[in-house]
Amino acid sequence: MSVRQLSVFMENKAGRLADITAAVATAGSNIRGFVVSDTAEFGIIRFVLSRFDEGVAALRNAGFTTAESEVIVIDLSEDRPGRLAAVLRELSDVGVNVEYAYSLVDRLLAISVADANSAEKLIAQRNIRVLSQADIDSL
Amino acid sequence: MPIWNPEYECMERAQMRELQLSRLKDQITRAYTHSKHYHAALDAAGVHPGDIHELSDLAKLPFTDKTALRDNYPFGMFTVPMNEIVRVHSSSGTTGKPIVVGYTRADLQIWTEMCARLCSAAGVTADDRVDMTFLYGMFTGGWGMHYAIERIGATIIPAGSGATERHLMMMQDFGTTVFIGTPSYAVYLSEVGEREGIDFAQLPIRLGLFGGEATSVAMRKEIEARMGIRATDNYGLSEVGGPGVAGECEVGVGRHVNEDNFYPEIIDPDTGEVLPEGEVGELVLTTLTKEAMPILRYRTHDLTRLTYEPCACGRTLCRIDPVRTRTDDMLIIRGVNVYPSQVEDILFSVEGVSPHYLIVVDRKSGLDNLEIRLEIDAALFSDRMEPLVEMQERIAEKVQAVLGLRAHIRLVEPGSIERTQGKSKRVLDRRKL
Repeated sequence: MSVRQLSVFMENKAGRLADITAAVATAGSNIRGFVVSDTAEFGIIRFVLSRFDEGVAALRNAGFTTAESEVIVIDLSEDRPGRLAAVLRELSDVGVNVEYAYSLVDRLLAISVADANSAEKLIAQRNIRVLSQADIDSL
Repeated sequence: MPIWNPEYECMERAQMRELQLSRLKDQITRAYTHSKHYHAALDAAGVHPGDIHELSDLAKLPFTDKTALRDNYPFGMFTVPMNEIVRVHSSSGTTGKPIVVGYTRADLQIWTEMCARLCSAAGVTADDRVDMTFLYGMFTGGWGMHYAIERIGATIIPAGSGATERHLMMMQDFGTTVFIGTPSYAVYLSEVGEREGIDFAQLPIRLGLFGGEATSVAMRKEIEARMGIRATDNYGLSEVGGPGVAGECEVGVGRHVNEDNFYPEIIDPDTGEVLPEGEVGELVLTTLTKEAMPILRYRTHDLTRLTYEPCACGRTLCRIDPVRTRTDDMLIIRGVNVYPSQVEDILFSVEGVSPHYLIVVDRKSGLDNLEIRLEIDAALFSDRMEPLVEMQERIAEKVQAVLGLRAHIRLVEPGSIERTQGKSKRVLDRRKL
C-alpha cells in the first residue's frame, strides 16, 4: 500500500531545483508533493510522483543521482484547525513513529517511518485512509 | 603467458649489459653528432661520447628535462633529416607548446615490438578482440598499442575515446575480450554500463591493459570487480616514444622494463645522485635504439624502484614498481607533502567511494585550504542526510589521520568534475604562489 518516494542528490546551486523539476516535467510526471532537506552545500529533494518510473528515468538521463524508498500517504480528509495534530496523535497512539513528514496536494500527508509494513497494519486499526501509488497516479 | 621475444626478454644479465653498453655508446654518439641540443649540453658538462666505457659512466651525462624538449619545438631534437621521419606524435600540452616526438620506420618497428611484448605478457593472444579506448590522434597511447595488437594477430577494434554507448554496444555485440585505456575511463564505462543494466560478468571481456595515468591498487581491484576482468598495468611516456617502456607479466610483481631499448636509472630527485637497486627515487630513462630522437637521461618525475631479481615468469628484464606518483604532481599544503594518490587511497578505504574526485587547494588570508570534492553516485547516495554527513566526517577524519591536514569534503553531483578524454582531472591548485 505504501507509495514510492524518489530522492535526488542536489548541490546547493542557483537553478538546481528548477533543473530537477524541469526534468521531471519532461517525463510527464506530476509532482504531488516534495520536501528539500539541505546542508550549506548539498541537499536531498524528495518527491511523491505520478508516472514514477518515467520521472526516475528522466532524472537519471539528466545525470542526477537518485534513490527510491517508500512513504505512507495518509488522507487527512478534513481541512480544519487541529486535524493534522489529531491524526499525528492517533499515529503516536498506535505506536507509529514518524521520522519525517511533508504535505502533499489535496490534504495529503506523506510520512516516512522505519518499517512501512508494520506501520500500515498499525494505522489500519484506526479510521485513517491510506493511499496507494495507483491512487497517486490517478490524482 | 607467452613470452613474445625470449631472446631479449630472457637474456643473460652479462650479455644484456654488454648489449646495453654498445647501444648506449652508439646512442650518445648519435645524439652528440646530430643534435645541436645534446652537442651543447655534453660540451657544457665536459663529457664526450668517448668517455663512456661502462654503463655507470652514463651518470657523467647531464639530465634531459621537459624544458629542453619544449625549447626545441617542434623538430629540434630530431637526429635524422625530415625525409626519414615517417610519423610524429605530440604530448597533450596542457600548458604552452606541446612536446613533439618523431619516428623513423625502424623506430616504429621497435616500438610495435615493445608494445607487443607487454600485450603478450598481459595475456593478449591472436584469439582476442581488443577494444581500444585511447584517443587516436597526436597522443601516442592508442597507436603504439594498436600496431602491437595487429602484430600479435588479435582483432583490434579501433573505437577510440568517447562514444561510451558505442563501446558498450560493441562490447556486447562484438564479444570484446580485452579493454585498453585509462583506468578512469574503465570506471566511467562500467558506471554507465551498470546504469544501463549491463551485467559485465556475462560478457566475454576478461582482461584490461591500463596506462596513461597511475592506477592505485584499490582502483585496480574496483575495476576488476566491476567489469569482471583481470587488470594489468603498463608504463610509458610520450617523450621517449609512448607506451612500451615497461609492462606487467602474469606474476604481477613489478613491470618488466624493455632494457634492450631503454636504460633505466633511479635517482634522488633532490640531489640527482644515482640510487642503489631497491631504493625509491625518480625514474630516469635513456633510449638505446632511437634513430629519430635519442633521449639521454630523461627525468620522468615518476617515483618508483628498480629490481634485477629474477622473476618467476622467466623474464630476466629488470622490473620497476607500479609508478607511485609524479613528483611534479606533488602538492605542498601547509608544509605537508600531498600526493593525489594518497588522497585516492583514502577515498577508496572508505567503502564504496567512486574514484571521481578533485583536490582543490586555495589560499585564504595566508592559510592553505584543502578541499576534496567527491562525486556522489548511486553507490554512495543515501536518501537520508545523516549517512551523507557521516561519510563526510569519516573521510575528513581519515585525511586528518593520514596527512595531518584538515580537509573540507564537498559532495558534488555526478559529472561535475571535469573529464578530458576519460582522464579525470585530479588537482585544482588555485593558490597564487
